[in-house]
Amino acid sequence: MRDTLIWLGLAAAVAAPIVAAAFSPLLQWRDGIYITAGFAGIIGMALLLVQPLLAAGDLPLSQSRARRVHRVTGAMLFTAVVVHVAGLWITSPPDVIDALTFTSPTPFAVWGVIAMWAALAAALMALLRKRLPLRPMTWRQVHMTLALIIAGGTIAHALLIQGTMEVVTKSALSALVALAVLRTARLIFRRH
Amino acid sequence: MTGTVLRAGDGAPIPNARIQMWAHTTEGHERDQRSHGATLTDAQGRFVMDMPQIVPAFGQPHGHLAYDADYDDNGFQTVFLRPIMARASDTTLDVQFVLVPA
Repeated sequence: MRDTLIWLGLAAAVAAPIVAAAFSPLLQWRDGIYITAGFAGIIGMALLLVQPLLAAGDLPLSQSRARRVHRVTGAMLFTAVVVHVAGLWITSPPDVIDALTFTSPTPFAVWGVIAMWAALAAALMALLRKRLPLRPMTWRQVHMTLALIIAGGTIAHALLIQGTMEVVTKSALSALVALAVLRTARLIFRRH
Repeated sequence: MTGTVLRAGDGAPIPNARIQMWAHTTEGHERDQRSHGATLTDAQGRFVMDMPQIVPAFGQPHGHLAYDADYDDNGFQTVFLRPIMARASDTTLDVQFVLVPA
């Protein structure tokens, strides 16, 4: 019963912002690629809620299962980032070039780009885990630091944007992601 | 879309300046041909152009305007502007150009 409630709660937290965005009036004036890029961003942000919960063992899964799901979710998250940036690039190359070179006039682009590089670094760390000359605890702390940058950057990026995300579900997801990532960070940095 | 085009220094209006504009509107993306337009300033340096409602794209409700120096021999520098609407519900956008001699 408790497990079911946890899964239902998580499913609702992840689905609510995505479903709410599907009702955005802005969608009717956008083409398929731009819409896909936007939803990849929203899905990626929603997955940011799942990752720290899996890492902290907060979900009703065995430890080995949670680790495997964390890896799969990480791969999905990174795929979402790639689809987001690629879709925006196809929609408007100059806007994305400005963002990537930190010369965009928009205040939110810089946060998204910082989160993107941190996500790439976190993903590479996961792929090269065995080959990196880091002690497991150090690896975890560096990976967690990157996760904090990803979460902070993504929240700032999303909150400053007037886009398809609905304001209440966007704020709620931001708060949940911040809580989850800070809680897991506390566990990881305390364990030392 | 409304605005004025003035000369730097003395603020004198610049007539017959060609102002180009483009935006993401209810009729399509910025890059779409039908989202592009151009008009000339009147004797008071003012320009007006009716266009479809601008909607937020790339995170902000904004327009793009340009004064392209290659279109006349007045000797000013090219200017690109990217004004942001205070609210997405705004139905007008007023833009000031101040042109500097090349």
